[in-house]
Amino acid sequence: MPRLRVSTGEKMYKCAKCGKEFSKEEMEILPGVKCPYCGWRIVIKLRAPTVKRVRAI
Amino acid sequence: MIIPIRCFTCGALIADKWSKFAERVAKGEDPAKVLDDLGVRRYCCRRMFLSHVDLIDIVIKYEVYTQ
Amino acid sequence: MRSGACPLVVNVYYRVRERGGVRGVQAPSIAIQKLGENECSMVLKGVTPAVANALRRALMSDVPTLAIDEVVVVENSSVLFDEVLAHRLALIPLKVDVETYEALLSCFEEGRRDDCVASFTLEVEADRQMTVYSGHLKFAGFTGEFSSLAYAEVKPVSDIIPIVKLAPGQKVVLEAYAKMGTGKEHAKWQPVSAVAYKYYPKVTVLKRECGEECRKCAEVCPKGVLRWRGGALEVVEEKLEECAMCRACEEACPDVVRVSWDDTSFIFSIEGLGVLPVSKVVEVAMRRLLKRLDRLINTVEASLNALGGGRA
Repeated sequence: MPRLRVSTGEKMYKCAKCGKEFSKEEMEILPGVKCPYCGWRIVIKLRAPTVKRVRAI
Repeated sequence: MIIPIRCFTCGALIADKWSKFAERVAKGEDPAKVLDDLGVRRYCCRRMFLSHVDLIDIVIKYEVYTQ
Repeated sequence: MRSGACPLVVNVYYRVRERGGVRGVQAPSIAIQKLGENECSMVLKGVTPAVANALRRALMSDVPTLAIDEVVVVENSSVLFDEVLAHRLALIPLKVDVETYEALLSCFEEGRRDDCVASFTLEVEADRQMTVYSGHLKFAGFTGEFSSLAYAEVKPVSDIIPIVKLAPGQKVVLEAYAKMGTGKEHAKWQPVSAVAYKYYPKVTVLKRECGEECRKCAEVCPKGVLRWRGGALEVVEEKLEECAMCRACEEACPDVVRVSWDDTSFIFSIEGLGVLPVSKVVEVAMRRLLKRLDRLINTVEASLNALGGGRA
């Protein structure tokens, strides 16, 4: 079974160092929470690309 | 964080007077006099100005992930 | 100074009298002393504290206004959460002209609040550090049946209410929908800020010729209601209404001055938010109060009739 998979999920994470965006599957290529491009371990979860409805209270 | 829109107690609009207040107080004017000039009479509204710290200016400096 | 009986209050009085009356009730009246766009002070005469308080509460919590109630956030990379942003938008007082207001009010009173919705858009991207102001909100018209009100415009009371501050590159894109509601449900729908009343003060000088020691009775008054002149103590008539009934003068000169009040007269002061002219706010409050009183009387009568009794 190949370790490297082509990502199908949305890019929901972002590396705090190199700024590249990647999906959950891409992150799971490496063990633990790490940027698959540079290995940096601080990762930001991006805002979902949907429209959000909020009650103004 | 940022100046509340209305006074917590009476509900009067205060946010539109903040920038003028902050500017004049920074120049060294007496806050009590500035508030009188701005027409903020009640002590509930006055404490909104006197006790506010505009933290958003500090927080904004750390927003560097956008590039 | 304008003076005279308010038709609506008189109306209440006559209706009470028609239905048998209440002992000791005289015709209520209102004398307006100061009336501006955003402030009003008046003297309410011939009513009980309960009536004055009913009016105060109606003013604050029963006059429907427009306020942003729903926000659709498309993009928000600012430092404030969507919810905080929505909350701040909600609290911005929105100004409507009286004609449009009447249309919105009847729509609301028919229980169709989702049919009278004003929509706004806000789209700001910062290239340098900037503040997003209420002036950036663009009115995008009414939805539904009100879309025909092309001439009507809803806009914030002030254009310089800061909503959020943006760092370079940050962006806020959203749509906001303003609906009618009352202060009872949420303070954002309150048309007034401070509404207060106090009894009409009565300050009596019992001993006019009391000499030098009476000077302190006048000096102690924080509102300048008393004056010591030429060896005599007197009440400054034009300052009387400012008396806070703190009784500092009574304390200073126990047997010289007496402070009391008329518990059927009230000095009422109302401060508006600029949403509607205060006169309009008072009118709507009275109308709504009257409607509720009617409903109460009808319910009581109906249940009395159901019991098989006659009139109360």
